[in-house]
Amino acid sequence: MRTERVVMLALLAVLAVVPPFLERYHQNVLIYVVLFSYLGVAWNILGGLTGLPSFGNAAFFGIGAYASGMLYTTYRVSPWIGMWAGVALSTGLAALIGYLTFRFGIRGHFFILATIAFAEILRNVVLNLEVLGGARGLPIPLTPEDSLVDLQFHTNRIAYYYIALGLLIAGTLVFWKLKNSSLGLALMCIKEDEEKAATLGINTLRHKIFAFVLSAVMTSIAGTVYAHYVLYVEPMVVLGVPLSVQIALVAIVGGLGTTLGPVLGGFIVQTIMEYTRIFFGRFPGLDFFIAGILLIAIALLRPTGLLGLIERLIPLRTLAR
Amino acid sequence: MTDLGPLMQALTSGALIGAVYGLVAVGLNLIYGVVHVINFAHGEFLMLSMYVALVMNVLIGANPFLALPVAVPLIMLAGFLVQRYIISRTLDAPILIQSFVTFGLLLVMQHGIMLTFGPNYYSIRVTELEGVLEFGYVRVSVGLLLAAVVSVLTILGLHLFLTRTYLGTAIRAIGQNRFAAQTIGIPVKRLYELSFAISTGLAAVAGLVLTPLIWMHPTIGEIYILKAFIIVVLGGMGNVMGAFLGGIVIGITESVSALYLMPSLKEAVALIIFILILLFRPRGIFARAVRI
Repeated sequence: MRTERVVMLALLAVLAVVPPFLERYHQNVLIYVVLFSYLGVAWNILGGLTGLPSFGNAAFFGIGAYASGMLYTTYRVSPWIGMWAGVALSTGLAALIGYLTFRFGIRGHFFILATIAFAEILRNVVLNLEVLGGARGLPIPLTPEDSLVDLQFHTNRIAYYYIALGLLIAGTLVFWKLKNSSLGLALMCIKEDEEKAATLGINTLRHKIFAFVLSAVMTSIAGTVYAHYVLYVEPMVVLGVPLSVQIALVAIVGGLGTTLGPVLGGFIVQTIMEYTRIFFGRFPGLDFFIAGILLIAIALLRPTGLLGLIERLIPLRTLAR
Repeated sequence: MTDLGPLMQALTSGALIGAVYGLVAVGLNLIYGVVHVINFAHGEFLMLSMYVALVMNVLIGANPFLALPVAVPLIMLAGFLVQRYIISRTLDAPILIQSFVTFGLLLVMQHGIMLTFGPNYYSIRVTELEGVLEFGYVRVSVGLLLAAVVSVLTILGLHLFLTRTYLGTAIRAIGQNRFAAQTIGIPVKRLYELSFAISTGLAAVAGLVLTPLIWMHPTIGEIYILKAFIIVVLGGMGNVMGAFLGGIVIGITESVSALYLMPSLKEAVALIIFILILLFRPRGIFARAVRI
């Protein structure tokens, strides 16, 4: 067994064993940290591997939150089933947006703008939909006691943490498998030079849509979990630009296109932002102020992200892959 | 026949506010056309000028129009420094990195102001600007009319500068071909700084003329940057006059759709137009107009 693997497994063991012994609000922070790491991994499939950074991923997060939230509040459909409604909707929307934008050769800045615009359109539409609670949002009714079927744990809040951790591990494995497959190679090829990729016989349109859909579906699942964790779906939060920015930030700061980068980014960026909010709540805006400085610093000084930095300091081979 | 009054009213106020949108978009487009950077932080310079006006109003009771000679040079200086010390370092970087840097600037400026002034809403009321003029069907507030007039004059001034002066011609030359311009001895780096300062100055003018009309808050830049992007794509990337016309189109679209649809959907209508233009005419609807 290589040392890297031992290190990885040791970290994983810490993540699995320690949290139940933490205080409740540290647990809360940790749930967000793990959830955002997962969102970063999902973003990285399109933004990092394929080179198409989306600043509109909140759209799919919101779809996941609203789909299962609405099915649960009106028909008491279990979130475990509602999740798949979100997945289906996200698949459809991502395929549509992907087809439209990629078909017409939109990339670079324009792709960023188009994704922001699509997410903002969705937010504006939801704000005007009374079925979804409009601007007030959608409160999710509480169950009297913990229930796995209803995805509600009032006494054992730590259950949410293990769900989030399960998502993160599964997401990271998906990314890792993808990156080391011929499919992932094709995506990276598209990032480097789309014309050349097309010359090699790669159907770039289909590949890009695939990456977009996969990224969207993974994001949507996180949205469902989030909705049933906070038990309130607020349009300005789950569909807002700040959420999209935060998702992208995690992956960019951690390391674009790397398997563990977003995990590292999530643990650093999100920890800083959450604790800033807790300890410096009197200074609204400090969290994103710090995030902005991190973004500029990383982009100017080390575009390979924090993982690239660590890699230089500790030469571990598996990290960058 | 239906009453034309409300429609005329919507067209007029839409065109007037559209002129201000155009001014914001022209600045954004200038930077794209010359420096080839998409400045996500452009709206933040507009927001910054509003807060300069607020400070001046609180300190010496100046109204936002009187703050112009102080706030505009100040914001231009800020733009100059940003180009010189931050953007200039990303000119050869991949466009993604450039976007990340200007996006980071957006976050820092927006939340820097939030830290300084708090997330509150402020407004500066100027009684002289609140009068209403009537032209037949249409009523227009003095403040809005003045905002549109100043915007049009500023854009006219920019147009004359870009077409009639040596410096302006040099800037346009850089926009066409940076390397050729450098070869014939144009100081590209310095003119990048000048262009950036001019661009942020335009945002500052827009911010100041808007100040008496709206409530300012730290995230207001986002609203205008999104509109500016829509307008720039509509008018054609790098096409300065196209951006101005695009501004008026978007202003009218918003006010007319607020009249006939739900007012809260007016932003969505502009965004849908944006997507359609992006998909079908990515070079803008005035693609044949003169490029700067």
